[in-house]
Amino acid sequence: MASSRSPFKDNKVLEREIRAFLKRHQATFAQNAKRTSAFFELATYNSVVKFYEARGYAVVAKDLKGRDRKEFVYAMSPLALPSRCSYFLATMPYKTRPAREFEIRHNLRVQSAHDVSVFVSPDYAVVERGAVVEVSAPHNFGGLGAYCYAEARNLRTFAEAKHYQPSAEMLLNFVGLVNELMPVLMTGSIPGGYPVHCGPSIFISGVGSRHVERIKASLAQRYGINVFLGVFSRPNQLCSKSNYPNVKTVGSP
Amino acid sequence: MIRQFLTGLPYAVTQPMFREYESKCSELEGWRVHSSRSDMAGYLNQAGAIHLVFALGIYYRYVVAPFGGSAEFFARVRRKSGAGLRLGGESLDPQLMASIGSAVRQFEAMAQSFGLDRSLLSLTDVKSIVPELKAREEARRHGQQ
Repeated sequence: MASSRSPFKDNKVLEREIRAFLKRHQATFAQNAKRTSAFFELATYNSVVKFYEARGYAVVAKDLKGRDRKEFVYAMSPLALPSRCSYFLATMPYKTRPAREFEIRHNLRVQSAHDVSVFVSPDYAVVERGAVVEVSAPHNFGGLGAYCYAEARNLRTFAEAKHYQPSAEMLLNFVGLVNELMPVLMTGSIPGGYPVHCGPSIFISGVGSRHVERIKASLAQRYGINVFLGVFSRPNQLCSKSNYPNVKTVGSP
Repeated sequence: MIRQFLTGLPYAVTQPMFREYESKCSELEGWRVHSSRSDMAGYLNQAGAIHLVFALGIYYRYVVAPFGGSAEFFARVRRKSGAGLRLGGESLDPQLMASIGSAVRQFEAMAQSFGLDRSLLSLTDVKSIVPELKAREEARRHGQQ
């Protein structure tokens, strides 16, 4: 429905209302602006969790910390030990066979599928329950500190969040991660078993040009990966039922 | 116009916002000078109004929208487990998150009352924003007749 006020005709009124809004709320935004990128990551994590809820998984927060275990800890760096972070556990119940359980983690290190000495940390990773292993690696503080990661064979899907304008290079760099972590997708043989996960996804705040849209369609067709553009205007692209046909999924082995 | 949106924000956030605003304004001016489309001229000449929409969109994308998404995540954690949220070593105050959620809703309602919804505020391309504004302005006028 068309609004009754216009940014052209009522330009002065709009300006006045903006001033009043900023006077009331700018301090709140300014005090927390240093967290903008972190907030964007949280918003995207929320989308991934919503996808699992929408697809019939029971999702619960796990490993809450603090006094009375009443704090969800979101780490901003892959250096944080997974045992000190919270995560969501997604469970798909079945009547005739055991339930399948997956951990929806953030900033988790994942071992390359090609080379056991290579690790990358996608912003979000969905792994089999209990897949996080802790070792003492010589390259990590001379073997004194715990080094945690999940093996690529236990990775079901992953996602990245980019608070930028999309570019061809950004999208194609993401394909490098797919090749490193889920190379089976590069051969066009997408796992088809149940339960399903979203395909590897990149969430980008910017909207993108027609060229970027073409690359998005091409990557989806070739590798079964999702590129979500303009996530602020369409925050539910991953989980809304009306968009199901456009979301690429991968199965569980 | 963008300056009042930038007050109090850190440089790392304001610099890309300011650069984007300046670049959009100069692109608009170039379009206005070289445009041969008579149907667009009336709109392209109202640069002040369009600049305001540019500033509003930039502020929405860089500041308001990420805050809104985090407030939603906070509400989810609270609803599901009654827990609070600790982000990178700092606990987020529930009252702060509630006031952020409320500010985001007020911003969206204000913009929406001028026909500027999320989808328009998220557009980044000048050649998409101005025709969209024109289409909405014409729809509004026809709706009033």
